[in-house]
Amino acid sequence: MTDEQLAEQAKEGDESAFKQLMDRYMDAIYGFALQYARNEEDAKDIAQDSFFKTWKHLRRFTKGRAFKPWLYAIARNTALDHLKKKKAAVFSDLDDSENDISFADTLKDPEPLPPAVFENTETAQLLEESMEMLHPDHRAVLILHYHQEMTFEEIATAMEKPMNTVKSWHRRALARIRPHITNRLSGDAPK
Amino acid sequence: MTTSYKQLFSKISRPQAPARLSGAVMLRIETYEVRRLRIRTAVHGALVLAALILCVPVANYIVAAVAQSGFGTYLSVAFSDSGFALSHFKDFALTLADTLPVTGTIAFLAIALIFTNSLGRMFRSISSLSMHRREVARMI
Repeated sequence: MTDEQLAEQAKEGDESAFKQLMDRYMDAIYGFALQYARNEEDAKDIAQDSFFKTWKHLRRFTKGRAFKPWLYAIARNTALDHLKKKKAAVFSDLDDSENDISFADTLKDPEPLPPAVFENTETAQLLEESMEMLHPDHRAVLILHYHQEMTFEEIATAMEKPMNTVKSWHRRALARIRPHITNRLSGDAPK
Repeated sequence: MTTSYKQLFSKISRPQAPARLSGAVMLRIETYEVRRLRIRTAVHGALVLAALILCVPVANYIVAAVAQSGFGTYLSVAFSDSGFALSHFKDFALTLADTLPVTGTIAFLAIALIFTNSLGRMFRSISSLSMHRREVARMI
């Protein structure tokens, strides 16, 4: 049964259909929340709030709409509200740059990674470290694209942003993590 | 390029949500439902009560209006001398309609509608409420 069919059933009050949706997406939403919260306790709260809000607003879920991006949109808004409440959202001006897309668009696509990256055992840790440098939205784009295998179109719907913005976030995020990983692996100091 | 980064991201673990998180969401949903149904039951209960209370003055008003307009008298003719009523059916029906206390009748029907509708909804809410309460108790 598709997500949308389950959502329609849940809308009619079928709690088991909603449970099935939760089973499908709990880990993914929790992982997504972690990109914003960066600690398990807050990620748990965000994931719980997101599913509760999803259930509460199921009446607004209209036929013909895709469930997955809708759920992620709720999760993102919940995460941002959570960060605002905790006043933990200290993002650098450069990263919080929805307005300088023109600059981002001038960036070239990051080059493919050297094979050494995949052979080194420290890569995972370096990647985790480099992810810390990113704006939560940029981090989320990478996770949604590479872990959840969502298309840029789906991510744009989930993030409630134009697709070009999402693509430029993706490019900029990769452009920031690439030198961090490659420089560290080649023995240089991190930038 | 994408494949290379996909391979890179496959190196970091996919976090797993705590086992009890789904249960916590369901408990929150059930608790919310209980609260919502309590409010619904109270609202419908109040409407049923209001309809019952309003029923008395409206019924009194209709009785007085029926007596005053002569509707009752004309209606009794329909039963006591139905031959006369049938032979002058058109005029008789018009007179009956003319003397019918319209305002009172509409008010009474509206109250009756609110009463039956709210009563049904109230019983449905009570039944759902007990179901959700049991569910909350089971989860706790």
